[in-house]
Amino acid sequence: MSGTRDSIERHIREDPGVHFNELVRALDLAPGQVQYHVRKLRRRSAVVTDELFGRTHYYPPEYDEWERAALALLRRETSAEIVATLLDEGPSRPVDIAESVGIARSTLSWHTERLVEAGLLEKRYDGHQLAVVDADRTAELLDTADPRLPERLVDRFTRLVDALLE
Amino acid sequence: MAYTLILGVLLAFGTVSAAGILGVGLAAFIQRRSWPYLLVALALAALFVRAMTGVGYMTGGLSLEAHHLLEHGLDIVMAALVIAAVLSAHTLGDRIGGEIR
Repeated sequence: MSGTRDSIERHIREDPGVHFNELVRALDLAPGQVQYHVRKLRRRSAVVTDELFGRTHYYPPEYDEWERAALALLRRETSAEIVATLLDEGPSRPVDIAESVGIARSTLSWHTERLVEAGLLEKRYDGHQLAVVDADRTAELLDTADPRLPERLVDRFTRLVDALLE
Repeated sequence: MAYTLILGVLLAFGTVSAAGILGVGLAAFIQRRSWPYLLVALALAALFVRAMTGVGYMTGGLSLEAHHLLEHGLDIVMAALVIAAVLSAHTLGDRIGGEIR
């Protein structure tokens, strides 16, 4: 058992939903090295891989499919803020959420579309209201998901561009 | 001497920051895959190429004339791309989320 493999497994455990590039960057390893060890870890079911929203995310085995999708989305700062606002305020109208979070409506609809698809949020009354599907589990995952600096930068950049172009 | 040193430092900072923001712009485009984001990423690519022309001139790869022509040509490209991004945001970019307003 190599030290590198241990550190990869530990990192995935500490940061469930971490994606490939970030794992390479955080542990300062060669991409091929990470690929090799992840393959070994998958073979003995110590790690689960999921292709979500165009990226490969890594998880410890105890998360189910719904939780894996939720974690991948909640790593986006704005998605996490939208969900946190809905947990605080209960079912709300999209315009009110956009205002509370301070984002353009196009930013809100981009994030909610994916959150609804993953089953974290649901649309009620023909889309006039948004609500969290499973408040307890979602709140727990919200604590676990922790966006890193590059993810935060991209997220804030899209908020800025959406706001400027709206 | 001092001029060369200052210019070198400015070019290094400019090129590294332009590369950084281009990376963010490309990641945002990969996420959104819409026209406005493509145009913004291209404008940032033009900024990066503009910084690189400075490096090209300093290291002797580009003549002063070529450097100036490229630099100010890219100013036009950047302005045009940003204007196109603003215009396309209201025509092409609005492909999502009409239903939840």
